[in-house]
Amino acid sequence: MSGHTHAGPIDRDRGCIGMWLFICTEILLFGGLFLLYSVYRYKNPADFHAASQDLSRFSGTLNTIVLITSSLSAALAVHELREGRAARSKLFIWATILLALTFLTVKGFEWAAKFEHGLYPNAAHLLSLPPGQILFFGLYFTMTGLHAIHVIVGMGIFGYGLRALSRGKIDAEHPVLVENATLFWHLVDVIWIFLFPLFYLIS
Amino acid sequence: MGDTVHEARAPYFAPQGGRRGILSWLTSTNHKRIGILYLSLIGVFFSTAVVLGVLMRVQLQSPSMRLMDARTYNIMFTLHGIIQIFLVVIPGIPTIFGNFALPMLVGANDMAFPRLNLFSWYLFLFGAVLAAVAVFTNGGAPDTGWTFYVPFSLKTSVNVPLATFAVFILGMSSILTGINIVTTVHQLRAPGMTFFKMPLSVWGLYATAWVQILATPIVGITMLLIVVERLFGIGVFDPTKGGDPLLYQHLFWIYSHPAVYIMILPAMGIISDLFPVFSRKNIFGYKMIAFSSLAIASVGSLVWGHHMYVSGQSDTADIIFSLLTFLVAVPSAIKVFNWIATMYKGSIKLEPPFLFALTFVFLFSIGGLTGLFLGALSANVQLHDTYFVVAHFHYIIFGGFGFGIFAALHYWYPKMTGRMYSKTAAVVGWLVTFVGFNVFYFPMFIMGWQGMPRRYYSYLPKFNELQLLSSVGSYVLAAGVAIILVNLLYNAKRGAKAPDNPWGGATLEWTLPSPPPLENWEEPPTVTKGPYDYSGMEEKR
Amino acid sequence: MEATTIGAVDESLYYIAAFAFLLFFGIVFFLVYFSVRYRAKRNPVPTEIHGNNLLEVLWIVLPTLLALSMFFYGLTGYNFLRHAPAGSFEVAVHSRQWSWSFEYPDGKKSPQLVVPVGRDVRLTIDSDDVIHGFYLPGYRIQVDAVPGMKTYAWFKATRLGAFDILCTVYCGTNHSEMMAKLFVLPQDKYETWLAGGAAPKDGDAPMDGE
Repeated sequence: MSGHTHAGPIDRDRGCIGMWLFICTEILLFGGLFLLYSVYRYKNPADFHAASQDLSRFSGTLNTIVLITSSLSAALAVHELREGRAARSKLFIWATILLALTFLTVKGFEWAAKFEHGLYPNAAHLLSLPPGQILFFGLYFTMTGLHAIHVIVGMGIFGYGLRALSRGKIDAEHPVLVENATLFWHLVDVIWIFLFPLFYLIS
Repeated sequence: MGDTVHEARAPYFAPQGGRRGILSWLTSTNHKRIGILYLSLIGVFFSTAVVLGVLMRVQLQSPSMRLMDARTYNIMFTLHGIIQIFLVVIPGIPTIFGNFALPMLVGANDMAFPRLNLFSWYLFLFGAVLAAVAVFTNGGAPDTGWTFYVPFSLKTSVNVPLATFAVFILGMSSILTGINIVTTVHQLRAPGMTFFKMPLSVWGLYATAWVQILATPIVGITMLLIVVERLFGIGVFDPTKGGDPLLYQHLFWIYSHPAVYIMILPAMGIISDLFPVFSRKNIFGYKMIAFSSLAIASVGSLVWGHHMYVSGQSDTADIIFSLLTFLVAVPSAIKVFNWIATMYKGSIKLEPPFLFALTFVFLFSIGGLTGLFLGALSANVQLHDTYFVVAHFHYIIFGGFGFGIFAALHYWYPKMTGRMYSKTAAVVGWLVTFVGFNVFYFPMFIMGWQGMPRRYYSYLPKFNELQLLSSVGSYVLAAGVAIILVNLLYNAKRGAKAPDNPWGGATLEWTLPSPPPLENWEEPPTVTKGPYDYSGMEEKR
Repeated sequence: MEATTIGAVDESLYYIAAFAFLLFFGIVFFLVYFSVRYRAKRNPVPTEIHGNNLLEVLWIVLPTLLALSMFFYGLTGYNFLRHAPAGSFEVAVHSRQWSWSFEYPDGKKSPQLVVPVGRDVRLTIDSDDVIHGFYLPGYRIQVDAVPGMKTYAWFKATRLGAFDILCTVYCGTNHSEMMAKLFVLPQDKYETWLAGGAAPKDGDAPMDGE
């Protein structure tokens, strides 16, 4: 009956294929930025190293821990849902959302500190630095900014999942939405795991 | 698949489930309706861009012509390019026929994700509206050319960010369509339809969908970077801040060259369906054609640098890209040879769709062969960014995509409308476009060879005669396109009723009524024979 | 024949043109011939053929070899174009929206490129604002002028005369008016010009250039 379903809960295999394809496109989207990063770092190794010293390793490490923990809670949400424990699943989704919020807050403080020090695009102070440092901060804001947008989108999807759970539209038989939200969340996590050393840990 | 009598099920475009009129279309997740929605939008965009093109040709009729000023001319070729590339040619076949025909071709009732499908249509509409808004607001339309080369695009008219953001949105729509097509082909084929029993048009769409998924994100991020660069000045493309303009070109062409294959692969697939039907025999070398689509899609992703031979990139890069470029020419040549071999000892009927298909091969061959000049490193030095390139890609894109889609429209028209167009008018339209096309574009090869750069508002007197000839050709071509469109539009409601299988096709869509009902099959069809097996069909022709 | 940039480009142009025409006429011949010979009226019953391995291998191998030969032709010419002989006459080319200027080793600046006949001329090209394309079709030279980097090209000034210099990369409103001229003059006239003589005009040099 493969070709003959009407609109309704998405077929599980299909949803899974679709989501993985989408994740490919996300990786390529960031791939373009990683490409730019590699070229410019290759051309300006010393400037990138110097600029990296201006980032707070503490905040970066903290956020890495926060995001990995949120990935775990998202995975647990899926596990509980598949086991049929919707209430506990909801709890883990809430935890994921709160951790995401924590991540954004830390990120916000970090950005604010950079702004205070005149380290933002087109700032007079930044423009007085060598080109490699301008590029470093240009890329830093673009890449962490795009990543933050993904965090916000992920929170939105989880929020939608919570609503669907409350209305009973999602259960152990139809977990596609939560599964895919979690898949997306792992992607967001993995991208951060690449961003963290590239910006914070240049030695 | 015997002679089942179809009990009267309402055609897919009749009012269904209480909803009527335009609203029933805008809320429908049915693949055929979404295909028609795309067709309507793309038809409007195509006509607009043709008008822009003709206006440009009026301006170029003589070097002293002053129909518009230079800036307006620059805006016109920018808009012509943006519309034709991003709103017509890239989405064209995957959205129109990938939606309308693909599920029927594989024996499914709809796409894998019907709601996502409608959503991507709205994204497409949204992108188009954004682009239109960019034309009329905030300082006027962009004048960068459709390639948005930096640093020019960082300095010129204020509306560049909006236009590039529109391209980003259109790219998202394209990605979602690609995901839908790949999933549909993997999941929804009818029982018995193995990969090697799929029609070659499905192979074409399938290979294209992979290119859409894997290449589009790169242009997406590139366009976003232009937006961010314009709004915040991050510096990654700005040479005054250490950015490298060549890197932009790399990122742009990593997508935009594969985009050429998004344009041409599905057209090649459809042509591969038409040659057997109108020759009444199996396609010559089915697997070769199927694999050559995949070869083009994969090797084609590695040749972007041939747009940059004279850009200042390293000589080593030039050499590698040139070698790969010549290799990617081979699978295209194979397809042409296989199509022609299909005609050998066939029983050929020169119906309108086949006339367009033959013209596709003719024009595509010219486009492909002239591509060899541009692929060769030293020859390219003389021809790069001249009219030779303009002629070359119009032979490929208009001659290939354009005539491919004309062929497809004339082929599936009875399925789309349940009616038949006037075949006489179709042949007249074909002849006029064919003549106009060659008078229009062929002189451009000569002018390019003699050193006429592209994107020129005016030109040196030595080109007067050929430019005038080219302009005359463009008027003839536009008239031909008008004949084709009027014939198709007029007969959509007034034409003679079409039989279920007017061309004697052996693919699944022809087992459905013309027009098909909203839900294609009540029982899934079972596939036992290949898509081009005409044995036992002679009497029904 | 003396090796020139013109020859390096034209050889591959004509080599490819020969095969392109051959292939084109072959394709058209068979398209038309089959359409007529096997039309349904004349050949009502088709003969089923699924493929032919020998033929298919043949038309994979032959086009590949042909394509590779074209690649090598292009490569050979390109190597020549990319390696200016030692001791070339050096001129710096500066571009901006929308004009060219040419700077000589002695600091002399000129809106036109004037060179003595018979010399190898090496051009170093840059841009003050956006990307331009330095195009000298009479000598088969084209290379982009990119802000923030220097590109180069060279040619052997074998032909006397005036030649158009055009911009090939779209650069804004007056892109099509961004033109200059190359004047290849006999040595004595060149020296007069260099010493401050009047700028050459189209009619000054014998026009055997184009």
